[in-house]
Amino acid sequence: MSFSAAQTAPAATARDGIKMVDVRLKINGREHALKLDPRTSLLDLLREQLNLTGSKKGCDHGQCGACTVLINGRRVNSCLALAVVHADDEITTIEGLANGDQLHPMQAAFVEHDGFQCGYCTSGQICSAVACVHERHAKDEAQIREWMSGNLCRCGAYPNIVDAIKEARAKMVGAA
Amino acid sequence: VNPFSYSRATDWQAAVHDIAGDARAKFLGGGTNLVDLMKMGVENTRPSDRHQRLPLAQVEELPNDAGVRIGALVRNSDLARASAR
Repeated sequence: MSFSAAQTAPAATARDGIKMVDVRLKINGREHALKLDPRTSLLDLLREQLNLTGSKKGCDHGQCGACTVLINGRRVNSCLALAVVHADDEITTIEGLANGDQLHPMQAAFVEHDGFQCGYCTSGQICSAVACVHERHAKDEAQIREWMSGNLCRCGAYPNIVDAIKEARAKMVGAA
Repeated sequence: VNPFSYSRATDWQAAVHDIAGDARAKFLGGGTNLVDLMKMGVENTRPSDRHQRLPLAQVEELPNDAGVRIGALVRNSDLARASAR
């Protein structure tokens, strides 16, 4: 699926008469030329303008982690990131992790271990878990629990999430 | 979130120049949690806030045991890890 830049470029002036900002954002390897109200959070941009609805809005205050995406490989709460700030950055969302139909090892491990129940936190959990492994903060269960503590799961799937990360870690390290 | 404008400075002199004379202008970066405060209306940032991105993200040890210099854009998680070394 693809979306043209024209679809995502609203008028030059936002509702409150403030100046729109021209910005080029690279998301999942694709460049987007956008005119944005500077107030637009990265999360709202992804969900409301680019139809990348995998990233979820939970608290919208940086406390739940459901909106976690990767910016230059680093996990970020996209609800607290202003989109205009991230020109020149490499943004990866849950939609950008798989290679075609082949799931990322972390996605496959979450499926394998039932690392979710309702699924609302899952895309944030998976993005965060990918960075957690790359940061080498997934050495053992205690470390995984500590370094994944910014991603809440109200269903309480934590034991299975930890199992999934341990399995994916082995595959990711093997592949690196 | 109240309307504001955004600009990106190329060096810190320009950043300071930009923000001077506007009491409501703010720098954005590092360990600040400005955006959620703006959402809550705690930070009432009306037009002409200026947010910057500059090469100020280093934690440097100063010579002669003079301590460390923490850049204005250092993230809290990076600082926590730097101090643990």
